[in-house]
This record gives sequence, C-alpha cells and structure tokens, in this order.
Amino acid sequence: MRRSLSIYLGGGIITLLLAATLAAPLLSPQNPYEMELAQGLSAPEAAHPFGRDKLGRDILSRVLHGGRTSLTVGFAAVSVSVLLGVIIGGIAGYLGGVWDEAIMRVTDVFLAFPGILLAIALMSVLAPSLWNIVISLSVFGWVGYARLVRAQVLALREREFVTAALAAGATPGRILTRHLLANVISPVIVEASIGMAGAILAESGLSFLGLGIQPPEPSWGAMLAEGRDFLLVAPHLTIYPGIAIALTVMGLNVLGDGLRDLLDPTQKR
Amino acid sequence: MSPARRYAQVRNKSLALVALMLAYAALSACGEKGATKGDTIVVGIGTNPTQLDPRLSQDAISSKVQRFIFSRLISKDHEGRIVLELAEKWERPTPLVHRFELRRGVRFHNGEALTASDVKYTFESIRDPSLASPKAAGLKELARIETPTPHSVVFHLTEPSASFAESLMVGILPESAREAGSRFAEKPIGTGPFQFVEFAPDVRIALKAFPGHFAGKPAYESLVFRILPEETIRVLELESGGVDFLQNAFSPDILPRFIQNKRLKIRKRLGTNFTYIGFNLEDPILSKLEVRRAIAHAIDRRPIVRFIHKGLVQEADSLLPPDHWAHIKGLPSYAHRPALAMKLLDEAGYPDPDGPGPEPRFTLVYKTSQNELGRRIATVFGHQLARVGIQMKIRSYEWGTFFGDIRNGNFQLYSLTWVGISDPDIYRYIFHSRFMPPAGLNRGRYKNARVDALLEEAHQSAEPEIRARAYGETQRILGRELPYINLWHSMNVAVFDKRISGYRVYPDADFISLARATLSPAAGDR
Amino acid sequence: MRKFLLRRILLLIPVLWGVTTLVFIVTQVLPGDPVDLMLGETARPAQREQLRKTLGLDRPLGVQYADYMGGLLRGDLGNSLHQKRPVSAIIFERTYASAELTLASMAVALLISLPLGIAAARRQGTALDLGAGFLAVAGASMPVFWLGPLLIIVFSIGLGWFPVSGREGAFSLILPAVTLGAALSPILMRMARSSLLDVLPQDYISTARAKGISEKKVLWLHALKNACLPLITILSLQLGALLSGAIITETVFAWPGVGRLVIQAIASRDYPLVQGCVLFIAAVYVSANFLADIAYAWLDPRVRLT
Repeated sequence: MRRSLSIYLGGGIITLLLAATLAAPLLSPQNPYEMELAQGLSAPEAAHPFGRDKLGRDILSRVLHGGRTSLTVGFAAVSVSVLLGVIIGGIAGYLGGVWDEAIMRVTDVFLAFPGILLAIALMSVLAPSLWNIVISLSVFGWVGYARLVRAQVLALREREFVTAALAAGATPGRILTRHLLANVISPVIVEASIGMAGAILAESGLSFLGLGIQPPEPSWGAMLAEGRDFLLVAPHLTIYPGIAIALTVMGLNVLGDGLRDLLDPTQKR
Repeated sequence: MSPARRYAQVRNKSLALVALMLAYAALSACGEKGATKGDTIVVGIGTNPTQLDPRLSQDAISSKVQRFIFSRLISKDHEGRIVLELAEKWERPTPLVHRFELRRGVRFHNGEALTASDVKYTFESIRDPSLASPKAAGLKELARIETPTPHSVVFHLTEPSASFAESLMVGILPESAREAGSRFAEKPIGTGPFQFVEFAPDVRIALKAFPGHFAGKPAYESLVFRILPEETIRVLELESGGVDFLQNAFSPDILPRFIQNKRLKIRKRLGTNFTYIGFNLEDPILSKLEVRRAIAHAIDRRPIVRFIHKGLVQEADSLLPPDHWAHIKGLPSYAHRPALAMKLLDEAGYPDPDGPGPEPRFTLVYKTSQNELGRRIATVFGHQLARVGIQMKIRSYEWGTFFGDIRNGNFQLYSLTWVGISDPDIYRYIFHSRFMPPAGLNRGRYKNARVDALLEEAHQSAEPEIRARAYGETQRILGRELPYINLWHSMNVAVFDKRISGYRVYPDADFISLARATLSPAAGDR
Repeated sequence: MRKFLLRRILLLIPVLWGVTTLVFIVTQVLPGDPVDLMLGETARPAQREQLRKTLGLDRPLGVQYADYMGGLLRGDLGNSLHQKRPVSAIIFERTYASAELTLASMAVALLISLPLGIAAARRQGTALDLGAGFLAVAGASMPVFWLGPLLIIVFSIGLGWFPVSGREGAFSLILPAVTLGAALSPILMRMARSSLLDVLPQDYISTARAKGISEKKVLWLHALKNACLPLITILSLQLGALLSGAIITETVFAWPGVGRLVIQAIASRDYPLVQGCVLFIAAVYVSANFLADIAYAWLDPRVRLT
C-alpha cells in the first residue's frame, strides 16, 4: 500500500508541477519579464495572485517559467551525473583490480573535496549560464552513482546469469551493457529521483552566492535569492518559489521512496 | 558482546551525551556578559574586517573599526574637511615640505607617550617592501622623514603632490610595534578613544573606552561590532535589541519599518560614494561616441532612484558630489530620450534590422558582481536598452573573477561604485592615460592628451584656483566624451537606538562620531 | 587487525594527495590576481613585482607545487595573504565552532530520523509509514537560506526562545543545528527504516518475541543495534557535505565556522587559506570515514579484517 501510495503521491506532485511548468506560456497570466517599477513588492491581488517582485514583475508567471529552468537544471545535472556515474562505476566494477582501486580513490577525493568550492571555482572560470551550472553540479554529482553502480556490478558479476553468458561466449561489452546495466538501472533510478531533488536545492545554493541563473531569467533558486532581502517587508517574494521548491523536493523524495520499495529486490516483505 | 550488554552501553553513552550537553548549556549560560546593556553600544556590520593593523588593510570596514583604536595625524570631520587630530600644527613652508607639531601629552593604550619617532616609524614601515602594505603606493612622493624634536615631524617630498595629505590619514602605531612584528594586529595598540579587547573573527570586535584619551574618555564603557553577514538578520537584531546601530547595511525598502519603530532614530546625509557604468573604450562598438551617448540617453535613472533606491541616492552628473569644492555646475545630465538614442545609433551605423521587432542592433555584455542589488539594477538597464534596440546580456560573476576581468580590460560594460571620493586627484588615477591597469585605475583605457595635461597640472599645484579650474575643465570634457555614465551618489543612512545621542553621519560613512556620542540609560536598566 | 589498519592508513595517502593537488589546480585556474587584491589598484609595477617575488608567485608552477607539497609534509600550511598570520592558527580558531555545529546537527538529524524511521518500519505499508517519510523530508526540502530565517522569525522573534543569531551559549546552537540537521534527516530515516525492515522478519526476532520479551525491548535491543552500523557509515559519509554545506547556515546565523572562512578566502584570493581550509575539511572527512570503517570492523564480526 505504501509503495503505491508513495508512487501515486510523489508521481502525482511531480507530474502536476511538470505539466504546469511545461504549459507555463499558456498558464501565465502575465509576461514574466514585464516590469513596472512603481508596483514593486505589491501584495497579491486578483490580476497578480502571487503578488509582484521588486521590479514589479508577476510572481506567478515567474514561478511557472522559473520551474522550467529549475527542473531543467535538476534533470540535466542528474542525467549527466548518472551517465558519468554509470560509465565510470561500470568500468570499475567490471574490470576490478587496479582500475577499481584507482577509480575508487578518485571518488574518495571528490567526496572529500568541498563540492560547493568546486562549483564556485567552475562558475568563476566558466561564464555563468544554465549549461555551466549543469556542468558544475555534475562535476561532483557523478560520484554517488559511480559507487552505487560499482557495488551492484561487483555483486552481480558473480551471479549465475553472468557466468552463463560468459560461458555462452558473449563479449564483455555485451555483458556489461546487456546484462549488468539492465540490473543496475533500477537502484540508479531510485537514487536519481532523490538526486534531482538535491540538484534543485544545489542550484538555489549557487543562486544564494549570486552564481546561479543570470537575470532576467527566472529560476526558483534565483527568485528566492532575489527576495531574500525583502523577507520581512514582502514575504510573498520568497514564499511561492520556496513552496515550489519544497513541493518538488518532497515529491521527488516520496517518488524515490516508492520506487525503491517497488524496484529493490533485496527488500523482503 | 551480548546484545543486552551492548544495549546497556549504548544507553549509557546516550546518557553521558545528554549529561555533557546539559553541562555545556549550563556553562555557556553563565558565560561572560561583560558590560551591562546601559554602557555598551553594539554596531552591526556586514563583513569581517580583514585586519586591525592600519598599515595592512584596505577594506572599508577595517579602516572604520581601526579609527576607534588608532588616531591619525590629520583626518576628516563630518563635513569632509581636513582637521588636525594628533597634530597640533601643520605647515607647508614649500610645496615639497609638510611640517607637523604633535599634540602634547598623548598616550598610547599601553601608557607610552606619543613621540615623533612613532610617526616616523609608522610611515617608514609602510614603505618597507617586506610589509607589502597596500598603502605604500600613496607614499610614492615621500623622500624622507625627519624628526627635529620629539614633537615635530617633517615630511620631505620628491615632487609636489596635492593628494599627499590624503595618504597621511593612517592610524599611528607605537614604535614598539616593530618588536611585535606580525603579531601586532592580534593586540593592536594605538592612541584612539577606544582600546582593543577582543577580536573573534566573524563574530565580534570588542573595544573598551580608553580613560587616557587626549580628548577625554568616551561617555560609555564599551563598543562592540557584531559581524552579521545576512541583511534580514541585521534588521531582526536591530529590532530585537541585539544590535543598537546600523549604517547603510540594509535595503531602502526596510526604512519605513524603522520609521514606525518608536525605539529607533534615523539620520541621513549625502555621502561620497559614486556609482557609474564604465565603458571599454577599446571595444569596436563602444569606442564610438554616438553609441555611448545613445546608451546614456536610453537609460532612465529616475525610476531606479525613486523605486529601487527609494530616493536614498542622488543622480550624479560628475564623479564629485554636488557640494564638493571642485564640482562645477552646468554639466550635461543626459536625460532619458529614447528617440534621440535611436537616432544616434542609426547615425553611428547600427540601424535596427527589424524596427521594434526582436532583432537587436547589436549585443553587449554587462558585467556585475554577485551582489543582488547590482543584478537587479542591471536587469532594469537591460530592459531600457532593449527598447532602443540594444540587447544587453547580464553576467554576474564571483567578486574576484569580476574584479580580475575589469582589471584586465576583459569587459564591454560594467558597473561599480567608487567609495569615499574626496580628493579630486583620484581623476588622475582613473582617467590619465598613464594609469591604465596594471599601473592604475583607468580600466576603460580612456586617452585624451588635454585631460592628461590638466590632471598633471592640478596634481602638481597647491593653488586651489588652479586646481579648481583644471578639474572643472576635466569634468566638462569627461561629460562630453562619456568614458563613464554617471549614475548616482548615495546617501548614508544610520538607524540606531534612541538612547544614543550626538551621532553625526559622515560623508564617507565613517562611524567615528560614535566615539563622541552619549548613551542615556534605558528604562529599567541597571 | 594491524594489517587492516595499515592498509586503511596507506589508502588515505593517495586521497589526501588527490585533494591537495586538486585544490592547487583550482587556485591556479581561478581568475583574479591575489597581488591586485592585496596591494590595491594604484600600486606601482615595481611594488607588484616585489610582492610577487616575496610570495614566490614568480616561480614556475612546478616549483610552486613542489614547495607547497613540501610545506604540507612539514605540517606548514603557510601564511594567509591578507591576515598575515599562519593559516593553521586561523583555521584552528574556527574548529570549535564548526565541530559544535556539525555534531549538533548530526544529533538533531538522528533525533528527527530515528523515531520516524522506527515508526515507519513498525507500521510498514500504512499511511503512517508514508507520513513519517514525508515529515523527514519536510525540513530538508527547503533551501537553507529560506528555512533559517523562517525558523528565526518563528522561534526567536515570535516566541523569543532563542537568540536571533551569533554564537553565545548553547541556545544559540539550536536553530542552526536544526537548519543544517534537517537536510540529513531523510537519508538517515530511510536507512533506519530499511535496516529495521531487514531485521524485523528474521528468526531471532521472532524467537525473542515468542519468548515474551516486550516489543519495546525487542525493537531497541535487537533490531536497532543492527541498524547502528549503516547509520555510522552514512553519518561519516555525510560529514564532508555537512562541513561544506554549512556555508549558508553559517552565513545566515552569523556562525563563525570554517565554511564562511572558505568563502572569504576565495573572494579575496587568499590561496594559502583556501588550500588550508579545503585540506582541513578533507582531512576531517577522511579520518571520520577511517574511524567509521574501524568501528564497523570492530563491531561487525562479518567484516573480515584484511
């Protein structure tokens, strides 16, 4: 019951948010870039149900459009991280020995290195842009997936179906892609759903440091950062993007929990 | 180990942990609370001072805190006029000689008397390359220092310098600092109204009144600077009494909230900060005067002044504030005229490919630091420039990267603020062609032989009329040639507890007037 | 055991070497010149060159790297460019505050996640299970720079229970610890729940129940101790994230930890200080994991000491 509840609930929240942001141009009551300085910080009213920001822009429209950026960053960063993680972890697990040892030490270095510093350094070197944010988040995002995949591959390598495939004359590449990865993919999906929540939060952290999405583009993290000086006089600037982030992160976590219960074969029940 | 034993261990451990936490809570609860609320002023500041040694720091907040600990030979008063502090008399017999008589009976916090050799030591150590002092550059023209008597100091210059006085405004250290070496900053000693108690980095700097101060002991016991990096927290601390005093460290939108607060007082004064947009004059597009003029006319400063700064800035037509002695009247102010801007761009050879359509005439990149207010204002500029067909992309960088790019000429447009403009000799560093980075501040690479000559003349002259005339003409040329778009001068706003009286806002946003403020006991205070 | 320890210690070396090399590369590629930020823009070229020489920045990169590694081997982290005192002393001042915040936030995370994890495992598959999962995620789903001020407004301004900010007394530790600890609670809660679920259906638990041992005792004695080991591992793995993730929490609560120091050091291009901080964070992380491994090996007889 929990399994299906979690998947329905988490999946439902995420689907709704995705749909709302995809349909942002249709749903937005206003142009998210149109300013009216004289109306800065004005409170919610009929035409602007979430109120306006410091530059008089419609917050509802910016939350909807900002969701596109935030979800894109989260999705792209996790995709790149997963891709890197699966490849590197797969190699480590499959080849084993010196390769495994070397790759694991590299992951140790990345785990021990303060991730935010690496992100700041990268954002300083690269020009700040959406794709560079994705790169910055992926540079240390892959590590967790690599370790996960390696552990899975190590465990699976000894299992009968792999030995059987080898005996049947399958090439290593085929075994890696066909048999091992197929079995590795479900825990990775679970991790990825939760990791995407982390990436969305990390983007807001970069925005806090002024290194996130560039104005005038909206993103939830950037909106929170823009509103943080007005927390006391105009809380609506941060409440709505804050709720959007919180909902997304919760939805993804609950979905991930449900998927874990569904997909994890080691969990007895 | 049996499960039961392990459980017992775990439980014992958690009990021990709880006990430890309680003990810690009890200990910290009865920690020092030094002075009572009645005789302490707590100032909230946003950044951690990097250094308490006045020779080594160059950040604004360090020098503001240092002023309470260290007095200077000369300094500036609340009108920005130069006044004597440790000096009793200041003569300039020739343009190459500054002669000071020291005030008698001045003592350092450690009891030593101030003598001419302390002054000599301070300035000579600044020039010592091994100290790597950022203030050494200001003493370029200094040839040697003489101390004919224990209370007189004579500075000999290699060439006349109108801005040399500015460079003398450094806190004086005791000569005994030499022995302390690099440890001096850990327990700084000066002749200022407050003496050092404690510096807990990123937490606070605590000072206590110096009874032996030459102008008399301050009227209250202790002065504490709390370092609070987040604006919302500074405001909440001020409102809840954790902080008594804030200056400029809040956004203008919060001011109405302070006005309503019966416990708080507000004081404002036009300051010496100047914000501008800088052009890269070696950029093929921006090297054209018509383009720069078009941008100046396309930008509308009024709504930004009114709605973003809430009137706490004043539109600028020059680097110098309007009440500055060298500021001249009648400079061009570049009113908001989008139609004229479009016409100028057409004339410059950048017609709009599709009129009001989305295709821009050209695209510019505007660099700014990660500061949220700067990004906000940039967004408005971008919007305004789009209306005349210029696409402006905003790139906000981490501070060190941004600054490095500006220094290296790696920019098209950028915006920054000059802090504490006072001596107009700064024009030389900013616009003289000899002062392009890395030698100076001419980041936009402005070149004009007439301006070079005028600035050279003004620098070498001690005659106020000659200087005023030279700077006047400079301002007129710069107003015409637009290496900068002048944006605004900001107001300094201080908000503080009503118990504090006698505080004066300084043009350079110095806090030093707190040293002479008085503190009335709060109702219900011990 | 000795062999195991030796192997683990030897494995630390390449990791620490990797971290120091990576941070050296980072400081080399970061744009912006420390000399500019130290001397100001009006310094003469000669003065600049002089300082570059004094700092050794004029030497080839390879020499600088060798010198830096040599210093580290002697335990010398160098001097801060701006504060002009030893990096080790500057970091040492912060360790106490950082350790306090880190340990307290771990405690908070455990206090949130253990009860929720136990509840979820015992009522597996019910709405309570789902609700517990939701609760554990709730705090972690808000960006720290939003959650922090929210807590301050409610608990410090509204209820007056805690000081607004700063580090004065144990009460000032609570809100920052909650803010930082909330982020850890979902992962800990999941771990507690799944390890309990692994254990609860096992034979010895049923035997214990059959013997008439109270449910409470079964849970605490038998089940939870098995969940302890993975929790230790997760905590030690999250330590790195906690130390550097504390940057925003420290900024909001004006807490004088290592995180803020790193940010300031980067902004002022104080490279020796950046390098020292990163090395410090990495060393704490690596040693915590080392200790966790040893604890694991000690407590769990199934782990072979090889």
